[in-house]
Amino acid sequence: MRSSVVPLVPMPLSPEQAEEMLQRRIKKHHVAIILLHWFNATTWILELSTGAALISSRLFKVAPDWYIAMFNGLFGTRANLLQFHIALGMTWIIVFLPYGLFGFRTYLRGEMLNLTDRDDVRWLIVRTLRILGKTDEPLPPQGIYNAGQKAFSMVVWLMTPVVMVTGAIMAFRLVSPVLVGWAVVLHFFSVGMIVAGLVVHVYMGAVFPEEKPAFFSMITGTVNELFAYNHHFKWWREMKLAEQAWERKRRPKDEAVIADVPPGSQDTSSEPPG
Amino acid sequence: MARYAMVTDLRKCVACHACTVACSAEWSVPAGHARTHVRTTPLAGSFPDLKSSPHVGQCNQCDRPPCVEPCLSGATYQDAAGIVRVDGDLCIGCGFCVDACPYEARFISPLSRKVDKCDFCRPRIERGEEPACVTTCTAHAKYFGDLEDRSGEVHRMVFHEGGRRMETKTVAVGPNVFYLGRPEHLDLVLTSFPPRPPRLLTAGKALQKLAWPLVVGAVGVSLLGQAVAFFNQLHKGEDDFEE
Amino acid sequence: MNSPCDRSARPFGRSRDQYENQTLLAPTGINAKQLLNCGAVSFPGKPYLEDRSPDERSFGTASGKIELYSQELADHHADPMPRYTAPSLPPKGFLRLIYGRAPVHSFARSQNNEALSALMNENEVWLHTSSALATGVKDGERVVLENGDGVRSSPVRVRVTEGIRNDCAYMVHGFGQQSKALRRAHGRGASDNSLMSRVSVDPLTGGTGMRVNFVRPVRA
Repeated sequence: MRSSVVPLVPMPLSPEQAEEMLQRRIKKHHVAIILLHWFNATTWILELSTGAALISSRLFKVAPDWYIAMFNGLFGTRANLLQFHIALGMTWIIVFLPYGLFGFRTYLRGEMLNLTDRDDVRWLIVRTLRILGKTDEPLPPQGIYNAGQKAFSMVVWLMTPVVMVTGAIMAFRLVSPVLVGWAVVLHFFSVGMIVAGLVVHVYMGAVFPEEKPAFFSMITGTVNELFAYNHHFKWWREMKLAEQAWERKRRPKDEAVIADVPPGSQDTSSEPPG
Repeated sequence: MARYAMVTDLRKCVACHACTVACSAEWSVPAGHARTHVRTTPLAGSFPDLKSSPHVGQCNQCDRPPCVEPCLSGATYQDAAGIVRVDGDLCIGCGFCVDACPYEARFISPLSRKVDKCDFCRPRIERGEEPACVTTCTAHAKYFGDLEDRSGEVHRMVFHEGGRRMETKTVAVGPNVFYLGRPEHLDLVLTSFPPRPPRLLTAGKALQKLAWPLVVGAVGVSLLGQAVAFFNQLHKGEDDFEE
Repeated sequence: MNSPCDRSARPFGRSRDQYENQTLLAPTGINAKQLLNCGAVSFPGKPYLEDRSPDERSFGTASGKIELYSQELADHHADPMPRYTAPSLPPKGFLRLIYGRAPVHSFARSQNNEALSALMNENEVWLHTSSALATGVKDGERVVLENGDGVRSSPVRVRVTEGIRNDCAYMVHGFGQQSKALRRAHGRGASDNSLMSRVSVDPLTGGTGMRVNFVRPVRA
């Protein structure tokens, strides 16, 4: 029997339901975002490694001497290293600008910035404890991006403009020397904050087995429905309701589809699942 | 390898500024700045018992240059002959080195927006010439040479004629521009234009004491957390995590 | 002052041709026409005694030596040694105007130079601490100098210092340039020579004493 009531909270699934959902794929990321993600990833790795090698002062350096020497050798001269860092940085800014200026509404969606949901706060705590092996409590339901991903995206959205502006200031120095000095501090700090989040992001995305489908979704653009149900329930629910609404519009006279559901009240919040 | 130094004889200097002008012309130093600056001490005493001395200052190519350490990108370095040089291609114009110099010898050029300073006319030395200021000095008060050349006049002036460094008890970084003059005049110059203790710009302090610990701390915590998670993952095995 | 080439001028009672060829050019061995053709001729001299041979080492006096007592002057019934004449003292409230040079500039011709005007673009009038106190002017204040004949200078900044006598006012010569074409120097500082309405001329040699004017600072 096919249930056409969309549950409000995650319910245990039968093996058949789970198997069916495992086979269905839902689109999570569109091409533009996939391209930007990997463009960012490669650029950031290169900028980070060259940037760390560029700080040679004993007072401020973050990389050991052999690392710095290795990069000096790789690029021939430190001046070349700096030129590369600047050129790549400027390329990144130029590619990113259209996304920032025109893709604003797509990428800066309200729900991505909202971390005040009780589910989100509890998720952050439970996720941390679970991964440290301190609890077995289930994770609260999440939207299209879980609280961790939202937190990281907030850090990125806040810090990226700082990295870009301070980087440009240091490259062209069109402001007073005092501001250039402060640009150095803010560039270091904002990059550092992103790196702190990046470490978690890379682990959770690429190493942690639970999120394997998420990693592949950044290549294929889709996740299987079971993963969405288990990890991003609230989003799955939205998708499901939207799918049902679309179905109803296509075949309004098809009783089999809407048999259990009174017209206009498909959101049967108070009814127990059939 | 050579160890270059300069001697300025303040008994001969007339503060004509020809050295400043020659240097500025040689290296296109922007107006309002100078790689070598001429000053006169304020008049000490009352008429007619007066005392004053000119003083010519520039980068001293110190033995222990305090400007090298705060240079973020390593653009400032000391070469084998002791000359402190600035690699213009590496300089990012942050200005951390400017405040670190006890002799105020560095400045940020409004043209290149990078750091500029005296380098004993390195390109001229390589051609076998003397620094522009030495060649031009109208009073023949400046001398340039290799401290390690025992037959040279600079060696003689420093080690046998009392050529003096402008150093104090608190700031002794081994400057290699020496001065000849009457002791009371050299004392007056030292009290009028004392070397300043090396300072780090506020931005530099913020970077060193605030931003660096915060960033390293945050990244460290992240790495630690993920390391624990990773070990847990290895320990538990992958099956546990599958749906 | 008329140029020596001015036809109406007859210095020393000679014609122009005589003056040019005989007085000015005779010692050089060339005449005016030759000079006009080549434009410039240089005659390297030997200003240092050590470069001269022993017979080249005498001076243009009767004894061939530098003379402190001049027999030639005595023979012409003039004082063979300078006779001291006391200089007049500045009247009350006035200071003797004296002038000199700054090591940065050359006379009155370098004030418009780009590099040098950047190092020093105006002069100051030096007053002793007590003179400043007496006249009520402060260090850095701008004043106008007025001499005993009522001539006034352009405004100039005051430097109060111990490095001057308390009966003198000192200025570096060459500033207070009036030509607008000297755009860096025009109007900067004051001209010491504009205040020199009097000069003291030595009747025997014609030497000019210019430090015989008295000035007082006036609020600008």
